[in-house]
Amino acid sequence: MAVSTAGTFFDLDASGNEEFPCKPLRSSALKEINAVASFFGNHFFRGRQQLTKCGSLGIGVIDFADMEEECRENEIPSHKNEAVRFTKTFRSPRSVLQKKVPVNSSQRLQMDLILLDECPSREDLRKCAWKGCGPQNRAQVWRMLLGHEPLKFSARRPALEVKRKRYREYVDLLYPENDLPDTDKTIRQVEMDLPRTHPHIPIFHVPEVREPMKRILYLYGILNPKRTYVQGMNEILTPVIVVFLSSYLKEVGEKGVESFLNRGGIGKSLTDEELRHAEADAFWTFSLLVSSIKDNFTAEQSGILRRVQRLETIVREVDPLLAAHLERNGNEYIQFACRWMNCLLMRELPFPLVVKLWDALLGEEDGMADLHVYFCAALMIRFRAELLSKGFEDCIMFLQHLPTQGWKTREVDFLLSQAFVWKEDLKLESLFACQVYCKLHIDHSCLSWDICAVNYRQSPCSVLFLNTFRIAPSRQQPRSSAPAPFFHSRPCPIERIPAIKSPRLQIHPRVMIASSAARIAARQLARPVSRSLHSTTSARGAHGNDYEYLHAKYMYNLRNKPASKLKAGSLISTYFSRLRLNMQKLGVSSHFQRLRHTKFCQPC
Amino acid sequence: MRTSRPRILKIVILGESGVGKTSLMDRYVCNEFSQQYKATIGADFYTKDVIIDDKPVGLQIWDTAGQERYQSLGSAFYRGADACVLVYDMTDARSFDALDSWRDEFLISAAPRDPDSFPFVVMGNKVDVIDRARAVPTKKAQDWCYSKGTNVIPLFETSAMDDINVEAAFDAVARSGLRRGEQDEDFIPRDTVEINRKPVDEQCAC
Repeated sequence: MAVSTAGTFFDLDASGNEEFPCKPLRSSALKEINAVASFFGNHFFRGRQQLTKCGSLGIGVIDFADMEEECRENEIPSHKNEAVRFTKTFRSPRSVLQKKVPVNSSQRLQMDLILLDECPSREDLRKCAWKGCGPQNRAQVWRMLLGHEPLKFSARRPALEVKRKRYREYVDLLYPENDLPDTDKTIRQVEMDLPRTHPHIPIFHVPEVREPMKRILYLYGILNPKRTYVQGMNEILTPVIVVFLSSYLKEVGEKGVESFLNRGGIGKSLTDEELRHAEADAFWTFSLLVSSIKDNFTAEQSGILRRVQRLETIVREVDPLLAAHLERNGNEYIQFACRWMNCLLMRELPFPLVVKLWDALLGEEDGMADLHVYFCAALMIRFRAELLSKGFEDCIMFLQHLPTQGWKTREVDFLLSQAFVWKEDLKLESLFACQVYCKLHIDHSCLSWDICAVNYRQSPCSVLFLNTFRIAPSRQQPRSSAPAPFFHSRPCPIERIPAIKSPRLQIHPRVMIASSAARIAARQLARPVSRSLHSTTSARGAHGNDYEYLHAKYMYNLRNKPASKLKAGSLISTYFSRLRLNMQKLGVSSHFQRLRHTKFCQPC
Repeated sequence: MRTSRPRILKIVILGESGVGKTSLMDRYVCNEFSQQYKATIGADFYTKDVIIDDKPVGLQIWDTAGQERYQSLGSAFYRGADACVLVYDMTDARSFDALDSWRDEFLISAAPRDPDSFPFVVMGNKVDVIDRARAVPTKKAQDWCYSKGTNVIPLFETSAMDDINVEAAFDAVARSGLRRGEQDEDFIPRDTVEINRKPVDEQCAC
């Protein structure tokens, strides 16, 4: 175990190896620890306390055996008591090491620090939420991301109190418990749907959960007469109510929402006040969440239609083969995707994964309305092999009953990263008029890729440029005798387009520019292969991040990343973007450049 | 050639929320019943292969959502339907009163060529609890069925829970859908005659 003495910190490797000497900590990790230290005040770091660093990701584990006492001795200011409370939830370094440090501890520490900040930035909070919230923070993070709770530390409590009081007033005023008219459509529908909400999970059918849900849905319905209550809202409410009710339960903080779902009832584990607060928070958060996708619930449900259409466009763009297959089948997207949009995938994914997914969607600007659709596309394309082998009937049946029951966080992470990449990609694409394909091939010994610009606007479509690059085996050294391929091969539409090799085209200025860009890109790509050409998913822990999909996300932050750290596709896109600028300078029309990855890595 | 390939019939099920559309489907397609259905969102899709008069028929059934709000998306599911099932809850008069608007809505959205003779079948569900809470008399339902369009709409009082009349009702649906198809291709007189003759005694099973 690494122990700090007199301000020197050591690192342990990820396997919890206790061998000495340990590697010194990375400077970023040191910074993190210093941040914690300065937050708690120096009293906590005088000699005796131990600070242990576990894993290569920078996990600060603080052992404060007698912290409470010190807290009293040093008269810690009241809002810092919060900080004291959270450190207590950390177990002692030894027990942590014995149980193998959870990978996301560093993430949790980061989130705690953000939440304790006097004035955290929304961007930081989003970034952190994207990686997933811990169950103990989730309620607060959701409140803050949706705007129910202010970011400013000192403003939070009063604002929450005002809102909770207002909700109480709504209930007293608008919800006469025993006096609701039987003719009221909203209450009838709500009463009809509540027993049908997760009928297999008993916790949703105890009065302590069902009654608040009924009040929230009814009040939402009558306070928003344009949208009223629409079937499916009951399901959107369930994660919200679970998160808020469970935020008061200690065991959920440790084990996550599953432990709440497994409960038979609430009993006396929550006080009346806690129940009231959870209900009010759930109401406001739910209202804000629904209003971010409000056009799904208006009379003509234009939001659903629009999003389903968008889904179709995305699938057509990223997987033309699958899109063509569905079209040949006569499958319409509305036939299966209507529910995906309406219930935000509540029916398609296991409950805890939906909560996890929502963390990320809330961590993205307009995520519920926009990134969600890309996620649906990723979900669909995940099953492309199954779909391609099915006809009309089987496709619909399959898409309406996706086999996601045994899924773990990993699957959702992967789809999220894919969704994000596509979202960024298609955004990029809309800048350019025609497409430049980069197709990667990989086998055990070498990596090669074709680059070609295809102009679909001409008929028949023309391939302006086609070149193949290859990385020599020596640069792509396999680690073991049977290495897993980095990239999963997926057919790319370019294969079906015959290349036009006319000499006139080859000397065309556009082609020459494209070819020079491809050459530059290739040279760059060939340089740091084994390290920088990582797939989105094989990069766990890279760049100091805990999660794979985070990697995909921040990789795309082209401005802030040096080229050497970019993935192949985005690297090329950088070059093409630069090229575009150069071309503008040269006065050449930027007609031909458009980049798309037709190749994506899948976990093997 | 024609007889060897199964006919595909598209059937749409409509009715108020909670009348038991999904449970009827579950009973008919899987011969199962559960107390724990989730509300249908959009529409669920079922298929069933049946033999009618020795001919294989593939049924594609769309079990739609009952809330009014979803009618706006309806046309996506109604289009090209060969037959339509209207379901009401015998213990809930409101769900029966709503049949009119469901029928109209369907005819507008699906826009069949033959709105007056388009095959509908009405099912009054939950006949098992009839003693306790009957709200729609059979006579009233029959009158309604006689008053719509040029054909009399077949009426079935069903129970998905106790498996009463479900098979017979869907059989009638398939037959009426088939008959409509045959009328379209009215140059195959042999088939038309056979199928037309049969359903006459089937029509009122109640």
